[in-house]
Amino acid sequence: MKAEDLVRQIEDRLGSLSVRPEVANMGRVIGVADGIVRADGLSRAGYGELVEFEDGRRGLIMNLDEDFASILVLSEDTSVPEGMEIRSTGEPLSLNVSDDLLGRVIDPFGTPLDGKPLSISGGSLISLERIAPGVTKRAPVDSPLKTGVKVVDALTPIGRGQRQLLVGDRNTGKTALVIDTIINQRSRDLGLPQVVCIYCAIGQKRGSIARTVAKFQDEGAMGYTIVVAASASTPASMQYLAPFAACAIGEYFMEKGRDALVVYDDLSRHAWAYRQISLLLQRPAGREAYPGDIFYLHSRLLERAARLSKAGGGGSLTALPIIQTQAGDISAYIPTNVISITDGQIYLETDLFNAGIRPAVNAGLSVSRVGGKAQSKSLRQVSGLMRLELAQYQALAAFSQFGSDLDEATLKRITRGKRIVEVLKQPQFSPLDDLSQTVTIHAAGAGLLDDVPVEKVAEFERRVMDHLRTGSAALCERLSGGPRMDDATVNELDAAISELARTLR
Amino acid sequence: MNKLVSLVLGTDGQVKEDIAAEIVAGLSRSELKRFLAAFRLEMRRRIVQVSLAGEAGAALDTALSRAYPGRRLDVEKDEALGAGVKVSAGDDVVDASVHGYIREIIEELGGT
Repeated sequence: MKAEDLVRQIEDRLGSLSVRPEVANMGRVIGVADGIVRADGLSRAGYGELVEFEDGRRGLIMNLDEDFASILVLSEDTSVPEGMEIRSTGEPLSLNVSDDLLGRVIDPFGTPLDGKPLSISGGSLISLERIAPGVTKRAPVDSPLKTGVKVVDALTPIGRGQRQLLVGDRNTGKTALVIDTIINQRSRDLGLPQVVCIYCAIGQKRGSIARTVAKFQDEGAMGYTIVVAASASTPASMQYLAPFAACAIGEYFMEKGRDALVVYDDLSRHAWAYRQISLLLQRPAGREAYPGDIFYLHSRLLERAARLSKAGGGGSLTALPIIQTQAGDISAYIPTNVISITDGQIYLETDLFNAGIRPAVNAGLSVSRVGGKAQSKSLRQVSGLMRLELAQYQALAAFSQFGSDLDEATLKRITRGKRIVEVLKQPQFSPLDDLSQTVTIHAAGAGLLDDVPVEKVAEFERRVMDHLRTGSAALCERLSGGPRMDDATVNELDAAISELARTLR
Repeated sequence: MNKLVSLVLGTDGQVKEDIAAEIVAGLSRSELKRFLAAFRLEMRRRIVQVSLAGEAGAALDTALSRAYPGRRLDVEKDEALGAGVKVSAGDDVVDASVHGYIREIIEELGGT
C-alpha cells in the first residue's frame, strides 16, 4: 500500500465518524462489598442493564431499589473505589459470537484464555439473556445426537434439541460421559450433520479444565468445539454468567441452521454462585438458602434448547446439564428442580461405578422422554427387547446368589441379564457407531450370547464388527443407515453373530 | 424522607428555615443521614450544573431555561473543556464540549 493510500484511508475513517453530543445517565459508587457495588443516581437505568465504570470496567445491574442500584462487577478484579462515576449504556450484556470462536477457550465475556489472540470478524452480538424460541418456532425432536456410549444411546437416547440431565455423585463419570459425547461428534455417525459443541466449565479447578481441553485436542475434537470456562478462582459473577454465555454461542449456531450441543458442567456450582450473589444482594433466602428465583434461573437457561422448525432454519440446540448430588440424594432441591425442567435424566451411581459397571448408569432411574423418537430404527428395535430383559434381570438379580436353588427360567433370565450388563460396559474414550451398538445390543438382548462365558463378552465385542464386515459385508451395508430390520435380516444377523459366539464358548 | 425534603424546599426552591430547624432538632442521627442523602439528591435534581469554556451568552441562557423549565441554572467556567458546554441535570449529563468530542473519537477508534 502506498503512503498516500494509507493517509486517505485514515482520513476517510476519521471523516465518517459520527460524533454527537453525548447524553448519558450517570451514577456514583456509594458502597462496595464482595463484588457488589451500590450506586446512587442511574435514575433511568434498567434491570439487567450493562453499566460502565469510569476506568472502563463493566457491571451488571442486579437490583434497583428506591435510593440505590446494586451492580455486579464484571471483572476478575472487583475492587472499585467509592465515589467512582458510573455510566449507564442502555444495553443488555451481550457477547460477540462468530465461527472464529471454534477451537478456542474463552471466558464468559469472550476474552481468550488460551494465550492466543482472538479477532472476531463478521460476528453477531447476542444478548446473554434471551427469551427462548416460542412454540410456533419449534419442531419436534427427530434426529439423534449420538453419544457413542451404548447404554445411553440404547436406553436413554438423546435427540437434537433435547435437554438431558446427567446426575450423580462426585466421581461417577459424569464429565467422562460428556467428553465421550463431544469426542463422538467427530465421526458424524449415520451421515448426520456435524454438531458444534460448547463445553461450559463452571467452578471447576483450572487443572481439570486444562485436562479436558487437552483431551479434546488429543482426540481432534477442538476443531468443532468451544470451551467457555469460569474456574473456581473467578468471581461468582463470572460463574453465574458462564452458562448464559455458552447458551448464547449455541444459539448463534442454531440460528444459522446448524446443530449445536451445550454441556453445562455443572449447574450445581452455578446454583452455588447464584446463591452467593443473591445473599450478597440481600435477597430473601429460601430452601437451602437458595433465592426464590433459582428455579427460574435454570428453567430460562434450559428452555433455550430447541429444535427449530424448517421455517426457522431447522437448527437445533441440545443441552446436557450436569448436576452433582450428595450421597446419591436426587431428591435434594437443585436436582429435583433440574430433573423437572429437563426432558429426561441419566442417573450415575457410585455403587455401580465401584462394581466396575462403567458407565455407571442406573437403568431403572434413567429416562429419556423425547429421545426415543430420534433413535435410529434398528437400534430402537433391538433396545426395546434388551430393556425388558434387563429390567427382569434387575428384579431377579438379588436371587442370583442362590444359583443352584432356582428354576430353569429364572436361571436363564439371570444368565442373559449378566451378559446384557457386560455388553453395556464400555471403556472411556472409545465411542461406538450406531451399527456396532445395534449389533452388540441385539446379540445380548436376543440371547445369542447366553452360551458365551461372561468374561469373554468383551472379546466378542472386540471381534464382532470385523467378523461381520468380512463375512457379511452386504448385511453391514444394508444396516448402516439404521433402517428397521425385517425378519429375514434379523435371521441373517443372528446366524452371523452365532457363528462367532460358537467359537467363544 | 422525600416528603420531608419537599416540605423544606417548597415549590420555589427556597429553604423554609423554621421547618428545617425543626427537622434538624427532631431527627435521630441515622434519620438525619438519610435526610441528607435525599436532600442532596433533590438539590441535584433541581439545580442544573452548566460548565462552559467561554462566556455565557443570552442565547444559551434561553435555550437552557427552555430545556429545563423551573430549574436553577448554576453556570461555571471550565477552560479544560476546550470549547462548548457540558450540562448536568440530575443523573443526566449532556456533553457537547471539545473535550467530550475528543474522548468519543478516541473511543470510536478503539483506543483508550
